[in-house]
Amino acid sequence: MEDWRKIDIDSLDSSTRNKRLTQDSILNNFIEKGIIHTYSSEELNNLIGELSGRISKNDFSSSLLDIVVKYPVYASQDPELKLKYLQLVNNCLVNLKDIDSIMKQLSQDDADLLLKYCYKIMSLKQFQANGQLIINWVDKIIIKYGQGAVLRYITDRKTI
Amino acid sequence: MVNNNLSKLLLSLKEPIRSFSLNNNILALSQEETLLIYTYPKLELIGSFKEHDKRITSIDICQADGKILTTSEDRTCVVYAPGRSGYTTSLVVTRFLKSINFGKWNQSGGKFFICSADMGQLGVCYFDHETNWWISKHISPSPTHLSGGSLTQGASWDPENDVLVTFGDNFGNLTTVSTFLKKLDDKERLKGSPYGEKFPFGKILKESMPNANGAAINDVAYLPKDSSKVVILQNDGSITLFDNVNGTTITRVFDSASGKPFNKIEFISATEFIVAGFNDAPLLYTIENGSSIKFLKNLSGASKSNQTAKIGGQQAGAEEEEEQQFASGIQALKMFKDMDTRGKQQAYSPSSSSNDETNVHVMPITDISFDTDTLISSGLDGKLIEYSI
Repeated sequence: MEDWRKIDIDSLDSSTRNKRLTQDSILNNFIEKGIIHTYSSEELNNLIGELSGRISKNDFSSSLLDIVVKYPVYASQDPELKLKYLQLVNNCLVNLKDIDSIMKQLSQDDADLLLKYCYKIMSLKQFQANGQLIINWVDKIIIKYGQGAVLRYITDRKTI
Repeated sequence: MVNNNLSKLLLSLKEPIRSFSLNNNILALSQEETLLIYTYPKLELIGSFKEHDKRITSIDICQADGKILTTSEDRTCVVYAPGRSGYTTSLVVTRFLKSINFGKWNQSGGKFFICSADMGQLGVCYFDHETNWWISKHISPSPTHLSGGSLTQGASWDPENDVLVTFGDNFGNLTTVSTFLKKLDDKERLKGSPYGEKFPFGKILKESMPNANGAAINDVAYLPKDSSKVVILQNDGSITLFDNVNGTTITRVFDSASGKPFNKIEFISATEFIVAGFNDAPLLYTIENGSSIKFLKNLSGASKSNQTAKIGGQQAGAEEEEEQQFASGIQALKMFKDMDTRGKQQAYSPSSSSNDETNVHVMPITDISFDTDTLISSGLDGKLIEYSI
């Protein structure tokens, strides 16, 4: 029984019933069930317009509370637009200095969603210059909601 | 409030106890592939069986006639029937392709269900007198419902009729099915059930995804007096009171002290229940007005802070050692290589704590069982601990 870990036992099964889950198939399952809303290019453009409008007025706290935690963009038809939206969220988080007062207004679900954005931003190379500011947010969320917030991020299959 | 005397160490074994069951003064527990049977409360060993060639995943003793059921990763179940000259064993052959994770008798002892890792299927097994053989029938929810879920772990019989089963899978789907068998079940008991009118075998009565987050469901329990509601434990550490008939979440709470997920739930009265899992201590919760869940107390002898203080001495030492070990990156790399190639799992070896005779768990709790006013819990650290409530 050498190398038993490497045997893909599902390939020996003639039916396809035991399939390995991929990130895409999970996302599609959620979309089919109507749990995740797929943003069309038009909808996402509107959202980006609204968010960038507020950011240009230096109104970061309201843009975070009114838009970012209210409209989670899990899926979009155009991946480029999704990245553009993420760029705006990143701008918003980096420029917001008064974290404590915002944290008071965030519910647990809002904070969980914000944590997803934080991890996504930290995982992409182009945003890593401001990593210390993002990790500050993660820190504050964990202080308020405990390590359970990280566990919820890991187990939640709805990913940004 | 220090009340250490309320919990007592019953057994401290070498291997992790992954499951156990207590009924009519018989205690059955697993040590990897071996089933050990003790008398309770004297704890004399009266039997040891090695019928499986892979790890035993769950044990259940039938309330009605004391038959013991073990399920295993080797895709089979074994039924141990008590007789005058000890237990006679009979193998239950299933057509599952993967591990069987959980099995449970119904109240009358005529049949049991088994949960598998094979595409979220539920097996229902019963004894056929004509062929003198245990028969296993499968119930398969449609792939569109499962949406990728495959491993079912937690399931529960409906306490009102002993026929309906609700089970959860690793994608967070909750399914209620009927296991009605003409020969065994009584139609009268199903009258007035909130789940519908007709209950042919294998009919899927309810499908839902509580909390819509796809987090694995570890265990499910019906409310003892209201079978339209269930409490589910999810892998994100949440305890959810769920209206299974309407498919809505009533309330959802988290254990703020540890934030870790729970493995097992057991009701001790109509409204009070105990959960235990990766936080290493059983917690008592209550349902208020059928609409909110409230934390009552930690049963693990001492309060949370005491508990950490008590084992703190040992842990601090171990942590320092660990830190030193990790100071050298090469050693850490070697450790992970060992874990990968040789299947070594240092983190889950109870031998590291074999000298530990304290009455608290130091590793995750795997199973709990409640009888009149005592609760027993088993852990990966090989301990069996009794609590009085």
